[in-house]
Amino acid sequence: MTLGAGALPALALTACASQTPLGLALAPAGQTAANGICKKPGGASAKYFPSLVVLTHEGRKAWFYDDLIKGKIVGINFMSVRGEEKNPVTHNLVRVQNLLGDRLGRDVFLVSITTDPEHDTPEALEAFAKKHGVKKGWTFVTGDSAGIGRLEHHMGRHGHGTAGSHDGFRYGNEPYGRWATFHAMAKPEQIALRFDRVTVRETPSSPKA
Amino acid sequence: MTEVTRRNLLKIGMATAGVGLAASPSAFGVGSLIGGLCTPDNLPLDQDDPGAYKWNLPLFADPMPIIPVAQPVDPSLLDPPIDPARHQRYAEFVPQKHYIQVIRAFSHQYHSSLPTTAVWGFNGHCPGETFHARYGEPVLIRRYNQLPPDWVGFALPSTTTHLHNLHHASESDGLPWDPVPSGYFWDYHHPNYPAGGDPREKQTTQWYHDHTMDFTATNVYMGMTGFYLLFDEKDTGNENDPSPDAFRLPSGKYDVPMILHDISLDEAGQLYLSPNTNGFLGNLYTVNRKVTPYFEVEPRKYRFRFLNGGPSRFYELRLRSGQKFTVVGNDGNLLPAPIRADTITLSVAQRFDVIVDFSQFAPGATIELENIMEQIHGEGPTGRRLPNGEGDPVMQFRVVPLTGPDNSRIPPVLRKLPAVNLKKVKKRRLFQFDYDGGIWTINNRGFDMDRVDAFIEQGSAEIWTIRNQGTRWDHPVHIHFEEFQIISFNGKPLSKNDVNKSRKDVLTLGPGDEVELFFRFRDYLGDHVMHCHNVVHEDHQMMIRWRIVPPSSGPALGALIEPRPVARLGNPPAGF
Repeated sequence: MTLGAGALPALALTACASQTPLGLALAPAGQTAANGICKKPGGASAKYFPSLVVLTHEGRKAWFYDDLIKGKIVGINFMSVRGEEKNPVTHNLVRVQNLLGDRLGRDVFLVSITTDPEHDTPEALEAFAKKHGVKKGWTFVTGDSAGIGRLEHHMGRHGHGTAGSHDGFRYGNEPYGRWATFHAMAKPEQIALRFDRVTVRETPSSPKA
Repeated sequence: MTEVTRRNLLKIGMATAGVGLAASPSAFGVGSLIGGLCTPDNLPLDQDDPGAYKWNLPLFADPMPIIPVAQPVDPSLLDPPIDPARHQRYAEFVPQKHYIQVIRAFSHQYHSSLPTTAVWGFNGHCPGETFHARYGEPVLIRRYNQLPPDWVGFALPSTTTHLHNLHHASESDGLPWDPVPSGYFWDYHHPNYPAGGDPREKQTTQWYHDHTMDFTATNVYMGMTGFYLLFDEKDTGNENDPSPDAFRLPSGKYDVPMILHDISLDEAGQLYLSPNTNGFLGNLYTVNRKVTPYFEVEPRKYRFRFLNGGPSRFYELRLRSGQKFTVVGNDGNLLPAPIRADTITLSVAQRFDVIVDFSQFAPGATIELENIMEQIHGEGPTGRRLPNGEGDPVMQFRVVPLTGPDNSRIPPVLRKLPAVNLKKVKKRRLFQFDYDGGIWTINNRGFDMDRVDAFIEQGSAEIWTIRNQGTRWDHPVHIHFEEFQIISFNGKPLSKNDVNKSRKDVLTLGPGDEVELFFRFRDYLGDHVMHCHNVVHEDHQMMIRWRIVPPSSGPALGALIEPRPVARLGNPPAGF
């Protein structure tokens, strides 16, 4: 039997309706709860992310997965205000922001998690975001150190080797359950390309993507 | 039928780690083991995978699938036709056989007690069909990607199919930056020509698998693997061959490719892959994509071609009968002479060709194959071995009556090694494998598909030193296109009877290991990669790109295809 995406009973169990329109992206088949088996909230990737509350640079509380990840194409990285000078990851992602153009905030989102939550309050992150010209669709988050630790652990950020200048850049398409990791200090063009690769389009994607 | 007991569950996670400890409680206390499992920042390892369900399945319930052999097609079915301009040295190696493989999603039953599982594979087969290729007989394989573009799941429905360790041009290697999206196809041209035209460079057991950038672990895990076997006038694939040159190794139904994968399934029986970056261990062993199967054997010699298909587990295979393996090949290459071994150790992507003789057993006897390598997380084995007879069951052999004479042989001499001529060495390079903030690095850098990390002169020889900077993790390092020989391992040469004294494409590095490799770079120009074949490490950027450039003297063999070809839009012909 040849399968389409809509024929996956396992995913139908956990991949309940995503309410967020995806713009150009297709709404995934198999996400509807028409069969009545969808009883708990959560998208295709719910089981891959910790469920915890964070504080955004805009000063609001947010469920990390439900509010910042679910239903979106998203890139996630770690940063800190004090670490930016040594490891200018936000500077690099500003260049990615420029390449994303109007996709940022429409169907692609960025989430930057501070690893220095005691220093990086929502106010400090807001000032930092403003200084870097961060646009709508890019959220900086902080929280208690235990919660940040859970996020670090969950995304495989297990300390440093000899270089100490790399960090993972987790990217994916939440409704479709596609997740991978690149590095946040990679060339901006290559980071932007990653979002194209996980986007679902009605016509075949470019063979270069 | 044997029930899986708690003892038989694979040793993953804290809960089952304790089971392994029962074997030697005094040697290794629970506290110290758990302490040893912690990450540098003292967080527990991510083995509490929420989606991996522990299925309690009867052992040896299903026959091991015999992978079908790929059948050539009429080249007129290739529409649009082959474009020779896309291939280096096409006119010298005009394909004599043509194949079509269509990559699709379909249902597969991993065990008779399981529901069906959605998998990806080739022409409806998972694993894909086995190619039987012959030296001097170039082939072309056209692969169509017909995966649903709107697939929901961890894998990316874009493909690029790498023919692992074959000596062919860059554009036919299935490299990570040559994606074939849904609705497209790619022509892979394999000359079946030994490196440098040297008959000592002939190969035997290779395999193909997906190599999609950042998504190799996911796509291979979905089922995208298969064998590619090479034969020649010595390794003829005919145990009754009258030629005096023929090795007459066990052949036909007695020559059995076996691919090992460990998988986990969710409660609905669908493939589950955790997002952790260290490496992934499944909690079910499969052979040819069937969970702990049985295989009926006659009381005679068999050639088993074992392949560790990953994603991250290491194996030390042992027959519970205590019988030795006669190892005839390592990493897809026949050894200079057979070596007898109690166990065979396979890191990810490694192959071993072994002869096992069941002639001492009467029909009705059963012999289990076990994995005694203890491994409790994806970074690598613990270093301990499980006691003989208490390893994880992988499969069972069941002896049935002999149906005919066994004319196969194990020749005392197989394939000579090409000489290592250090006078040809033009350059030495050092590559350090390490870890940094969630990224697996080589020389302190993550993969960049646009960055060429080494330019190598065609026709030259080089020595590469590969060093594992890690203190805990193992790396099965794989280098494409040209095979290497190990010059020294931690400063010492290998002994003559070491199975690794062979031509190789996978180097297994333990913590702190440093190994010198000798290479020659011949026949084609262009780009290839070196990467960790723990495919989770690979996907987390442990890869470099290197390029063979024209020689400083003499003509180049091959001409770079520029601009680099891209996948072509097209659907398979009717009937495929």
